[in-house]
Amino acid sequence: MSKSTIGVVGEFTDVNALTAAVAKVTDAGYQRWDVYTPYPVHGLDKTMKIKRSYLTYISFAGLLGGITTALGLQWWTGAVDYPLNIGGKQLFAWQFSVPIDFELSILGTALMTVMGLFHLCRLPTWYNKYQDDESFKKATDDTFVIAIDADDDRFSADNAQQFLRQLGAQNVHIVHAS
Amino acid sequence: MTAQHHEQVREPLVLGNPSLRDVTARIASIVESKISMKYLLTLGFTATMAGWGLFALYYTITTGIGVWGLNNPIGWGWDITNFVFWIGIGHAGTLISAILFLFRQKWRTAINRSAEAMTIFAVICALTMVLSHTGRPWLFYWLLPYPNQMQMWVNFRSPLAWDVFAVNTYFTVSALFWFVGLLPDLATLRNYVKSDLAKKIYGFFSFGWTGSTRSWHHYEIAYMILAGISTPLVLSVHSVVSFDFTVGILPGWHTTIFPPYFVAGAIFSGFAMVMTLLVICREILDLKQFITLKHLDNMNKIMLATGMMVGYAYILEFFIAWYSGSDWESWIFINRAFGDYAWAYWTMFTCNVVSPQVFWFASARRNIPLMFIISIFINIGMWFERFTIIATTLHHDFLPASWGYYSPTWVEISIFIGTFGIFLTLFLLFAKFVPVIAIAEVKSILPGAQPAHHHGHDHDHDSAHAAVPAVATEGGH
Amino acid sequence: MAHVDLGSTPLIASMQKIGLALIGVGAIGLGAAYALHGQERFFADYLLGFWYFAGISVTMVFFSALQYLARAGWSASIRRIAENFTGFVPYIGIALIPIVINMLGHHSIYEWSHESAASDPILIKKAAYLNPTFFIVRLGLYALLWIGMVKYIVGNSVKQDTAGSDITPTKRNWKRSAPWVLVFAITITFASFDLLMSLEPHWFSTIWGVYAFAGHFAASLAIITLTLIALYKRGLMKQYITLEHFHDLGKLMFAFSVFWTYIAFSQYFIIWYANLPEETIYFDVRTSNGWELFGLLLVLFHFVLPFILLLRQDVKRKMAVLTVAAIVILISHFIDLVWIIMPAVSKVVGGTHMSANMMFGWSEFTGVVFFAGVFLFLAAKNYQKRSAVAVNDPLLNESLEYSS
Repeated sequence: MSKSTIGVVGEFTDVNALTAAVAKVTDAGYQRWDVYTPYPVHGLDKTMKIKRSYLTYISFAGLLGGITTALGLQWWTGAVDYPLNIGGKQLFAWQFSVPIDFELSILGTALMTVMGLFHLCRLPTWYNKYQDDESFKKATDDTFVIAIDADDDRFSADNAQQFLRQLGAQNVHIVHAS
Repeated sequence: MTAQHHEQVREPLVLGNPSLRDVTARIASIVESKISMKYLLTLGFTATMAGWGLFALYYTITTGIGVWGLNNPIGWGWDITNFVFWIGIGHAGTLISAILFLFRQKWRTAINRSAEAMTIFAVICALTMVLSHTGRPWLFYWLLPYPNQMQMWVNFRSPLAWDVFAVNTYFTVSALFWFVGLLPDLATLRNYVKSDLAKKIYGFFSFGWTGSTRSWHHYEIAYMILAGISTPLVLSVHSVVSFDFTVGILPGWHTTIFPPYFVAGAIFSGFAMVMTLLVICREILDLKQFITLKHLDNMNKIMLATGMMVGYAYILEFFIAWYSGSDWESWIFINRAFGDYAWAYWTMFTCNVVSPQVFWFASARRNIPLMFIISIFINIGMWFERFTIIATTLHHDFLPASWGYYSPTWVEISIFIGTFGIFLTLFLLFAKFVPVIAIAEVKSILPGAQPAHHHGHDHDHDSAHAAVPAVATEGGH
Repeated sequence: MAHVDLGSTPLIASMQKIGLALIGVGAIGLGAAYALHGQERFFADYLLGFWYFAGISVTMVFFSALQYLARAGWSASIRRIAENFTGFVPYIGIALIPIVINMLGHHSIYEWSHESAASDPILIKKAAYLNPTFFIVRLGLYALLWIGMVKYIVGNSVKQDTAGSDITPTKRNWKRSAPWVLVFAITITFASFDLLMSLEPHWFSTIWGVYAFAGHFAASLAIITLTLIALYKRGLMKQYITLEHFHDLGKLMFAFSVFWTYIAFSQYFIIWYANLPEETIYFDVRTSNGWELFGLLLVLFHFVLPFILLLRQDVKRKMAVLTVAAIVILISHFIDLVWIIMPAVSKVVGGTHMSANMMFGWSEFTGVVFFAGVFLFLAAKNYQKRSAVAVNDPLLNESLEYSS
């Protein structure tokens, strides 16, 4: 197979220049592109017009699941399945169920949050099409990298390269599949 | 004018004005450097401690809990003291990572990673203690509600059952939070280290994190949620531990201030432990650039504050014991301060309330040998706090016929030493192989790391627009 | 930066007018309560209103001290709002006079001051603490310490306004806020023991001081939020308020509603589970004869509603939601104090059974209305005296720039 084009990447080192460039790329109407940064840059997600994550709803489902499990478990085992008088205490009361209700709500929320995060970020994925590119590797260190994917409808290797250079990107180049 | 103030009043959080690359290189160098003889010797020493403790545990399990000093009426001794002690140590990690995050305390970034690691290791020690306390730890699953041939369920009316849920939740959530925080840094190491094996290992654990802004978007929300739920969690865990004592009716144990008082004490002891280890760490790993005197100063202030809270509870307990007009209550507290265990009580009081008072002085808060000594005092004092609470209430039961005295045997002491061995061994391994500083977070607070203007205010139309003054100074976020 | 003088704005003028009107209405109401319901209920209503606003005013000083203690940057531009609400603090001593008169009268609302206390086996043991003389001395001491606190913390904050580039006053507060916070912790604890807990002299709870603090702090945050919204909507202090301030106040209101719930639940739960007669009596009395409704309303207003209203991130930037949440919290604080104070006063002992008659009507609002008037009037005075923003605070820039 011949070397196919994966996309075009360009490097930035100044965060202000990056933010300005990202705004331009967004305005240009590209859909399949991304910015790789070593740490979360404030406001970049909004500049890219990324839709708000629905992770909070996943977490909330975890909370509901946790508290339902806790209440159901304590009520059913204590008052229904095997009612047992211990020290004359009630078989079930909301008061003594609170500690476990609380703990399982938290546990449910945490598990769903992390699973939701992994799902939304597609983790784990031990392969990335850019993984052998030197610029891309620097993006976890000290470089901000804009990558425009080849499968974007507007993509043309020459235009994308020229565009990124115009925006002040350095070391703009095409990434080929290896 | 105000810009000048700005200079005067805020110390930099990272010294030496490093570049992004410097931060990566500095932390990665710890991972990449050759394992020194000194490190191996230390590790050998702590592993020996752990081994000795595990041997004592083995002896306990194979022989029976009779090898401990427990007696009637004192059924809880060093086992539960150590359990509460270790659980408490863990609380500083969650406080630093969650509560300080929510309160925008940026200085936390340098210490949160190691403090969170300590949380996890401390909970492991606590679990060791509480499982050995059950006497038959191989039946640990009896603590969990599962359908069985006896058709019996866990007694959810018992505070000990709440503990099982609280401690396991705490362990799970802390570990998840820690791992989520580690992901970007492991990815950084994956791309930075030279050794192939290391690349593979960090590559595996980083799960293929790329630093994509689309991922960061979800990531920041996830981190916020985890911080948000860890905050009430950390309060609840030690509150549930305090319920082990308070929901009973024993004088000295049954008092309403216990939940917040236990939480304050836990944070206090946790910070002391973090301080003890960080002072050593920043010397040996040469992290003075990131863990500055300012960080230590802040931690000392928190220790002073939580120490005062604990002192407030000590004094209030005494006052209300008298004020209650209950003879039992009053007597137990007189006995606490002047009875058989007075030596433990006054050790606790001196270490926890008196010794941190030196931190009122700014010079003391920046004196490293002094803070190291005080932090050890606090560790000792907080251990004695739990011991005092447990022993003084139990050793004199309601009838003089059931009065006794408790001292530990060599087995209990060895197990306790062993938990320190486990804790320190795990911490040493962590400090060598895992990024000890949250790389991505430190980078994000470096001067100039964030855009000078950012337009984060395009919110829903009905919320009025705020006037964002066009003042751009570095590091304003 | 120039001072922000809001003293002559319509908002402050109406604040002052409303304050005066409330004082008038409240005074008439309290008089009517005395005439129609008798002295006992009058004093209970007075105490209710007094503690509501005295507690909040003192907590406002604490709020300011806490910002200094934590070197908080975010709050620098809005801290003065809390400081202006401390106007009532210097007058607390005067407002305590009716409570002292009540104590010296022959049948006060405090059971332990009755002659019968001398033959009560439990109360005899507490007489060294619960006796009128020491009680009055303690109240005087709290009043004085609170004056000292407001003079020091708020005084230095105001001094900074005119100190130019010299930040000595701020530095003083940074240095001395910690001991004042300590004074606050001790005084608010023992004041809540003396004024409220001793209404039920047989009963005791070590967490009581923390409980009192949590309620006052949540209410104080609600008042700061409402004021900030009022200023913002009228375009006053425009360049000093950002949406981030609302966001943080929303977060704090949320956090402290939950914190109050945590403390309240801890107290209730420990007493409920242990079920010792001398402790459960407190909740027993308060969960019968209709008082259980107040208990439920308390859970609803102090926990459920603020929790639901403020849980989401984005709503913390919406004025309408914040306004509703703040009002809910202020109502909840009122319910809380009614639930604590009124059953203690209407308690009846029949044989071995103890219960409290329902005692709630128009007159329970009179004390609160009166002191709300005092509180607002004296706050408005502060706006006329000084800048509404700590314009010269060294951390002011941070407060304007930060974002979450």
